[in-house]
Amino acid sequence: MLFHKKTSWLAIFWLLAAVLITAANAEDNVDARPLDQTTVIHQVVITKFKFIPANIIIKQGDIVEWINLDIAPHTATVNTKTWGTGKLGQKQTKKIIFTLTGTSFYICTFHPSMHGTVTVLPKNSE
Amino acid sequence: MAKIKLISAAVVLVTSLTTGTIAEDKMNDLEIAHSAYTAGVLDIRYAHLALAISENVDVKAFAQTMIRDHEAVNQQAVALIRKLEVTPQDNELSKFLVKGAAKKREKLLRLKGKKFDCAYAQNELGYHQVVNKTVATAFIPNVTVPELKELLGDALATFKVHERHADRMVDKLNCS
Repeated sequence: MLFHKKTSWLAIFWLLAAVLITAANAEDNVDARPLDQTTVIHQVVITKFKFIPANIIIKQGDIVEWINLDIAPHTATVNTKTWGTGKLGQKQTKKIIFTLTGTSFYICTFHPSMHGTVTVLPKNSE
Repeated sequence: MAKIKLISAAVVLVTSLTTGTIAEDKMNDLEIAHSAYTAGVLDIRYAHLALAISENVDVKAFAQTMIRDHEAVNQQAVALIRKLEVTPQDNELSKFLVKGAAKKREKLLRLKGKKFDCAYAQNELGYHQVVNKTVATAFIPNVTVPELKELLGDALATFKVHERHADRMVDKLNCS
């Protein structure tokens, strides 16, 4: 009986582990930080070699998701290199959470004529 | 089974890559697909040459962008060809492009340093100008398959950015 109980617990353990690993893989594009109920996700679409919207204003803790609709690969990379999406192929996305206030200027490193800004306001600002 | 409808519309191609000649030909969808793909492959070859010879950071970055973007466009073309179950047809324009590129590569191979960078940059500018004009005025208006027309439109948007990028590169290199 005791053996069966241990077996059951082991099975549950491994089942939970498998579920957690699967969930982590599905969220590869998200920074490994807990999200609360107030987290807002803003989307920037990359199309015809432009970031739309090119200038985005968000609040501390919000997430920006870039999605590339062009055939050509793109990046969204801040000029200080402190954050970036890496290479985004067509229909690929990348989410980045912004925790520091201020304005970041970013470009596509493959096509430097493409540029945008992310302005992060304090969380409690109006 | 060829799902692409063959067309017989006259397509006037203004192709002045190296000689300023004007080639006039009748092209169908399969020939247009072949020439568009070939133009991309040839630019990738130029880019590999630039990566091997140039020591200029901007020229190398441009060449890497050409490889990355043209490979992405051509991958889409291959996917479309497979979906439509067709085989692109070699044609006079493709042959003309290949022949012209071989001559240009021979010339580029003899150059080094700034002379190479300028020759490569100017060739990229001219090449994209001609290809873009051909895609815009001959390929897109005459192609009949909507998916191919859409792909050519997306490709043209990419190639126009390359043309502007090449123009800036020529300026920055201060080529006389």
